[in-house]
Amino acid sequence: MNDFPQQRDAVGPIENADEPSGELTRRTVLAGVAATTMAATVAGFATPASARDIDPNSPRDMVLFVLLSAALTGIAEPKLAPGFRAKDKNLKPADLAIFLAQLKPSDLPNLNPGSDPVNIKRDYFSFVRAQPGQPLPFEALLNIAEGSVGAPDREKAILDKVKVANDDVRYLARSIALMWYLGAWYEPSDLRLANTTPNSTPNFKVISSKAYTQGWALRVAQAHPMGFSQMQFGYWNVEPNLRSDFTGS
Amino acid sequence: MADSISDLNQEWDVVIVGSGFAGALIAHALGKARKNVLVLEAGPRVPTNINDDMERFYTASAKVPESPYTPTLFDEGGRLSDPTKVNDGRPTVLSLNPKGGFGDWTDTTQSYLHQIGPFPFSSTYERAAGGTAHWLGTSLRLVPNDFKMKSKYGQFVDWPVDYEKLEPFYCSAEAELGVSADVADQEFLGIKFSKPYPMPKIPPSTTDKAVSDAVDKMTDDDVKFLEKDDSIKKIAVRSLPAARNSQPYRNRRACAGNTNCIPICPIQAKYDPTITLNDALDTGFVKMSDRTVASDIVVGENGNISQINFIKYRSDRGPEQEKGSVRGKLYVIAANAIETARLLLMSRNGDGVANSSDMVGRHLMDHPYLVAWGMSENRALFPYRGPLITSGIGDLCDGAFRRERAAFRVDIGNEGWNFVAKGDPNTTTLDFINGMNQTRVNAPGEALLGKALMERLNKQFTHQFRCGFLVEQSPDPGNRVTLSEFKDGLGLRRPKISYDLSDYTRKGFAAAYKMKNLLFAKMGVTEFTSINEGDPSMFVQDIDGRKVQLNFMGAGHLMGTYRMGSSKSDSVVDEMQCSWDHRNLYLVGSGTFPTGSTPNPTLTIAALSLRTADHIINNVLR
Amino acid sequence: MRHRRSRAVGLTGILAFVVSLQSPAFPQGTGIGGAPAPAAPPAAAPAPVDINPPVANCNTKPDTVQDASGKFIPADINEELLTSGQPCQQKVNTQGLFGDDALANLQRGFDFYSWLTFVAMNSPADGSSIKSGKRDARTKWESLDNYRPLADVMLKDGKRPVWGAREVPDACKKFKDTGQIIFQLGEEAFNQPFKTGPLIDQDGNYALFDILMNKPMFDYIETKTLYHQQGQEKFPDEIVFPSGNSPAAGATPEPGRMGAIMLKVSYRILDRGEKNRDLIDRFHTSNALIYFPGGKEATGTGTKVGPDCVEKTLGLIGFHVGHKTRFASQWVWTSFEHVSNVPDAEDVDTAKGQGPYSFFRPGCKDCPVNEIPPKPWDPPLSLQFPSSFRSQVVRVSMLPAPVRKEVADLNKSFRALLNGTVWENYVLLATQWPSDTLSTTDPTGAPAPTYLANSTLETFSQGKVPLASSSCMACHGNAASYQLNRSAKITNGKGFNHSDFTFILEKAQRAP
Repeated sequence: MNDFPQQRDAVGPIENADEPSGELTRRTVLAGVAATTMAATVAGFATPASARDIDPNSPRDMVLFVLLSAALTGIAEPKLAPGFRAKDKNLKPADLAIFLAQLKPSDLPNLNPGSDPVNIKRDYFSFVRAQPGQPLPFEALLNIAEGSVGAPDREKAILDKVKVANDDVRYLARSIALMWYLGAWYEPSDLRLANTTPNSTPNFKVISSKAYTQGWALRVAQAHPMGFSQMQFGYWNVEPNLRSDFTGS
Repeated sequence: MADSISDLNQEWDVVIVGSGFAGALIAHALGKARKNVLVLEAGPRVPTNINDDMERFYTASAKVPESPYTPTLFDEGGRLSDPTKVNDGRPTVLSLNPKGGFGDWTDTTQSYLHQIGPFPFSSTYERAAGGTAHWLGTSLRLVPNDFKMKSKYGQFVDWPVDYEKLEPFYCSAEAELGVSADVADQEFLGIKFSKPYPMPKIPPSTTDKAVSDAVDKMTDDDVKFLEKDDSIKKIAVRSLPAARNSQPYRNRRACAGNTNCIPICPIQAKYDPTITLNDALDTGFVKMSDRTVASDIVVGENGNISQINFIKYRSDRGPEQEKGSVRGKLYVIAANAIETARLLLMSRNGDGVANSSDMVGRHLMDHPYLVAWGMSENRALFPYRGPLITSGIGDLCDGAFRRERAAFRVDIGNEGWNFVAKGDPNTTTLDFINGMNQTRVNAPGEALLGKALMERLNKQFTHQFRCGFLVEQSPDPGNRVTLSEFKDGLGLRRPKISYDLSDYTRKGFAAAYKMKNLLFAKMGVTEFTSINEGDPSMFVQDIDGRKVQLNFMGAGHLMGTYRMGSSKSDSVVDEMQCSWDHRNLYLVGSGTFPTGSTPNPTLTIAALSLRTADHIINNVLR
Repeated sequence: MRHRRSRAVGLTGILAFVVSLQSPAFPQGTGIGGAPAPAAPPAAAPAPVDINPPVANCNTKPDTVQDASGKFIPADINEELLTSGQPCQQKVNTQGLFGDDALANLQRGFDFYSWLTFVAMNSPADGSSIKSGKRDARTKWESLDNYRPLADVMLKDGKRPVWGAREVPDACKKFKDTGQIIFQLGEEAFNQPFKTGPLIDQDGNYALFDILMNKPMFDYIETKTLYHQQGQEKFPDEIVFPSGNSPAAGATPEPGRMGAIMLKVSYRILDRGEKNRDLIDRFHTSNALIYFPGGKEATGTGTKVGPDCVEKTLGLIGFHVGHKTRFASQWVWTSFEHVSNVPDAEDVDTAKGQGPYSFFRPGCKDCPVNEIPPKPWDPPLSLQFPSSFRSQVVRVSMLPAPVRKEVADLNKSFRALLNGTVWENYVLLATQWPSDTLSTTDPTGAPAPTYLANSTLETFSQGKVPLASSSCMACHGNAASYQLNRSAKITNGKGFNHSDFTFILEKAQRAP
């Protein structure tokens, strides 16, 4: 249900001579920059020429989404996706953190994306995939995540690649981070507009009541989303648990 | 529930217009005394559960006080609903914005209230069974001197009732609402208790403790400017008495600190009048007709009220309406200070009823609210935890200074910058992810991701602080509710509001401003308070020789528009809230307050209502 | 900023259940049911009560077994399960029928445990098999030897309750005492929690609700003087009810113990007579003396009508169990319903929606669904609702589809097992359990599934709206007592006065 006042209509496609053929998305690279040129500047990565069908039911895609999301948000994988773990070993959280820090590409098939009753990761994956213009940049981000597994600092590797990616990818990364933090969707193009046009404020819509209550912004603050506390009477009288209890670090 | 108009066609003992605090409490008391009561409620009835309200709230982008409730704020195009099309319209904080844009406060196609200024009246209310359920829960008593502004301080008027007379009813009100506080904490400025509170106090928050530590560091010299009352040796941060369960109470859960009292408590640990309304309906003697808007109070030949006409609508934006009327021995109007005044003025073809004093609609008061916020430099405060407000400073509410300037009460916010930074945590999070600076804490425009983002947001949120100052507003005859030519969906004239801040009140702001500076200095808080361009509530105040820009928000407290007094010439109702002009008409709620002082009005509304009900049962209808 | 010692977080979430995996081959309990071992004969001086004594016959059967190749296959659901005791603790495994989906595997384990619990608790109190019992055979939980109703624990004036005692109220003495259940009414006997509303069946009778507790739960309350408000006010420790555990052999052997169990049941009135003749044989029934204590107008508790008494035949329609077990400090929550209570929302316009149902009239065009009755609500002595209103209730979908399917499969097997008894007419809704029981930031332990409601017990709060819609653990997590000064510090988001997930303590009255 959306009752935000200035919901804008989706922007139509912007014509671009260098638009890759077979493009399925309505949104292309923003004016002035060629998609293929952009792709070339992403170290070691090509923005896919056409979208493969990334699938929330594919454990591999979901694992990549969680790894990507952890890098974008700075919140540990097992927090974003409870139950995220190695399939073949029972690791205590501290050991799991070490294992995930030292993840190698050969570990990927051995990762269980986790099953938890809320399963917000699935809602988010499906949501992003369904947004007009996002499947391609989304896939690019998952590829970035995949290609960064094995790097000594995976978060840095992912973020470095995102930083030099094309605008579609870069702003989608921000939208995904905002989505995890706030349970709300900020259109990547609106975010970009806010950076390029003075006095422009991005609108947002809350994805769902479930997403709102799973927002991380105030968990990172060692609190809870306003209107959704699982705590008990009097908890506010003492300092909260350490930040690491909430976010994993 | 009376669903058809013909069900209403009987001689009721009492007809009550409005089912908020005053209406519900009176209905319940009368129902228990086996009087036949009909409640007319303009809004929809109490829903079966709060699922829909919570869903609306959770998915709202603008989590304003109205966001869970109906009528919904926006039309399909995403614009604020045009009030001429809504049958049970009400003001929203979204229509208090600068001229020329979204929510322009002067634009009557967006604002339910026709505001002619010079300032916007900034408080809002609901029209729904249970009234303004989005209250915080604060349940403070007036201090004894609040009833005697004229005789003690030469200001305004005295109330026709005093603390001693009202005290037993304060106790009953606290029991009915379920107020949590400790007597030992609350006996200041002359307040005395004949009974303990029903439940122990709500524990203070970590933010409260930081404020308390800072206040402890204030020297006598520091606070000299306040000219505080001699009885206050040291300023204290005290727990706020609240209608919020600290234990299981009357089949309701204890507070779980959802930090959402305004606009809605997800577990109903906070009292709201639907609880009393439901109990009233359970007596078997009270009936309620929802979506029923009283439109005319009809005066009979003997000068008493003979009937109330109403319009019953089907949906909040639809044309289906039926008209009818109801009759009772007594009539009680409990529709809040703006809607009650509106109804009185629009009756008798616009000539008005109960208004021989010409005071109906006048002396509109709020607690104009000075808000300030900042970042705690060193100490983490851990806001966003617990009820929205758990403690405050009340010791500055009274003293000889009231000869010269308004008093103020200090609220300590537990919700970081949520109230102030356009809906934090969203704004700060957006700033740091998208390299923006709406909050003014990201001047370099850093765009962060990963652990750097997480750590930065943690640091920001855990150090946010905001406080507020409820400033006493003087009762000014020019601050008034009249009738607009603009109408609502039922064709009824909407309220027109003129509103200003007097010098007396502005001087109160000056003192509050200085208190804020002192507090921030002692706490080590760097201020980030800002006023938006074109803010219609902005004013400039001379403070110690400097011209300071200030602004105010509404506290949600509507008072004064049909004041009580000791004589018919200078008041609208007597001390039992009975109209001087029509002796079977009672006007209740905070509209009867002759002065506003500083405490939140709700507990006093409740006490006065119970006193009126008691009078009706024992003296009038026996 | 004060730094707190980081406590060893221990195992998160689902992994906790990997550790709880019991090694195979526990001695099967002989005997029937899960009743606690009989008390020792009285000695000269009363021995201190062992609140959570060892019990024989803990049922430790798992929901899956491994075949020769190590593949997990469903355990056989056969007659042996009817007499292998009551589980003292869930026996679950992150591995199972659903591959890598640990949540689904664990869910099935819990649902299996719930069925074993249901069978054991509803087995006849005389020790015979549930298959042999007549429809009105007194069940284990209906015997005061095993369970005690809340109204007989939290007594007027905070009087000390006595386990097993049965006192017929004066107002009920006009009826012949045939050992009926004595059912004392209060607000929550007819009005759902937090006064959300009564439920009126298609005959116009009020549905009735009762709460009971087993002996370990009772003993905890009684020995710590928590049965009146003053006792709770003074109690200095954190309230922690005893947990059940399966027996363990090996290096650190320990006997099985049952732990605390609380039970909430819903009934419809099924008086004998022509109208109910066909119906009555499909329900478990009990004869009850329904006591209206009166006193509501004066004290706010009790009933409006009374003191008075009526005799009724009650049919069991809903069955909630909360069991405190090791590795589920947020308890395990299960709920059963009679198949004829209400249709599923999506079945309303299908053949399945034709009923007959106790709380739904098929084909009614303008019966508002899941709406509360008009007020006033206090029941008259006849327990007939004073107007023509009838509750029109449907079961709202709130469980994930995979859970619904898995539960439906288990229901089919267990109902087949109970074929020929009234118990074949009862179905499991689901079990709610803490998927992250060791969480330090979520005292509710991440309930799985997120929402659960019984259409007769949480009729009006069914749905999927966070906090507003029914979830056993989210709601019970808010339960508090009258404690004032707990000496133990608050940790991990837990509260000053939390009452360990039970609302029973708040029903305590004040001693004079």
